[in-house]
Amino acid sequence: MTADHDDFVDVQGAYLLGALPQPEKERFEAHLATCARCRADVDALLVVADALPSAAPPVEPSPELKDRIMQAVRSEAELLEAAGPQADVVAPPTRRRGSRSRWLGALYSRPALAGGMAALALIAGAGAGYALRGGDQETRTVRASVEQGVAPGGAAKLVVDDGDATLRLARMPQPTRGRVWQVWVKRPRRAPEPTDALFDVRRNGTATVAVPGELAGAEAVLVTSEPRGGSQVPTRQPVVEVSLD
Amino acid sequence: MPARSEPSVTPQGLRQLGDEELMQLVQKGRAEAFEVIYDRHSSASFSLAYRMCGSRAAAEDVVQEAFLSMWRSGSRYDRTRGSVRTWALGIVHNRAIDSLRRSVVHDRRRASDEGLEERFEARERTDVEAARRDEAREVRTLLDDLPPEQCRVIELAYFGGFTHTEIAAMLDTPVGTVKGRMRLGMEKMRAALTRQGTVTP
Repeated sequence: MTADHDDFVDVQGAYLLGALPQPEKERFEAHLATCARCRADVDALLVVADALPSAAPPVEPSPELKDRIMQAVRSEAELLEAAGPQADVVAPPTRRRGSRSRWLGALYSRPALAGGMAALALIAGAGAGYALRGGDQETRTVRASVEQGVAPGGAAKLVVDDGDATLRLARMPQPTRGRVWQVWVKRPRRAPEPTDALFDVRRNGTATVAVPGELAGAEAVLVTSEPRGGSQVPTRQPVVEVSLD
Repeated sequence: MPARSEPSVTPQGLRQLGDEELMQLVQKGRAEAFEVIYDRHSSASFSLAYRMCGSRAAAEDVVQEAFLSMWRSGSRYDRTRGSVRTWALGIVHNRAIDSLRRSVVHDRRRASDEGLEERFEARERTDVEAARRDEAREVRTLLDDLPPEQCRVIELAYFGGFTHTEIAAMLDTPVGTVKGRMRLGMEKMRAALTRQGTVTP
């Protein structure tokens, strides 16, 4: 595959700088997986990619940014703790195979996968909630992302226990007049499927909702605001999104 | 074991811990541990995002997205792949590129420098920050020492978020040449960095 390697040498720098258009990046990553020389070259150039951020002139973020981030983090941490001991147990990071060199790390953190990054982050959130509860029975807690513009400080998680999925929400606003929150199940390459799980929020801003139907093969559970009685097709952007692996 | 029943680490104690140890607590859902991670890496993250996005509002959105994703995906952090700082900056860089490419008008002036005078600079509060500034200066110098055409393509790609085809069109240069300049420039920087021992892993 030497001819192959020579074709790819000039792509290495562009790859590490995040400058490859998607199709070319995918081709290069496929090649990287088979070419030890390219991996070694990319590994060596990583020091440059890692040093580049420090060439940015130092600018301080506002204290408000920290407040916003930490508010979301604290409310998710509270929910996680409220989920009970199982949810606090964290599975070790999923490692693909024994040793892995830095290039794989680079591969994960490079924009090649940027499109998938958001999903990855949430799936990883899912991983953080895995817990074995004796035998083969598994309880899984998946932290959701909540649209903070609609639900400031809002947090949600999906608890999957032996096939039964329950969505727990906190600091959720009531749906606006004449509307109701509706749960949807999203499968790959399909429009979200409506469920008959329609709900309001308790006075203290919490809600516990059973998610009906089969979640196997689903990529996400969503919550949107819909007219009373629910919809067949979402009429609003999701306020809560739980990404599943 | 539930996080609650662990001996509690005081906030002061947390600040004594290394990033890797903190990340273990973050993986258990400990918000206070994450706060220390934020305090340590938010300035570098914000500086990078600001350099790329060119506005405080856009940079704050990028940093917020990046840190929330780090919090939620803490279990994905793997120390064998590099430091927490590298991991964080990698996520910030990706998010900033996403944000740049998402914006309908990929504003070319954005990357074509510099408007630095508008940026209020960080105060040097600690030795660590001063050391970082020195490092920044060194890396900056390395970039500036490159042949200008190499420096330019690297900056447009890394900080501007442009693809090599976009850069080729902007500079009216063949794509192959742009790619070659990127690699040559990075190769030179690599040699200089390893020579100087500037690289602090």
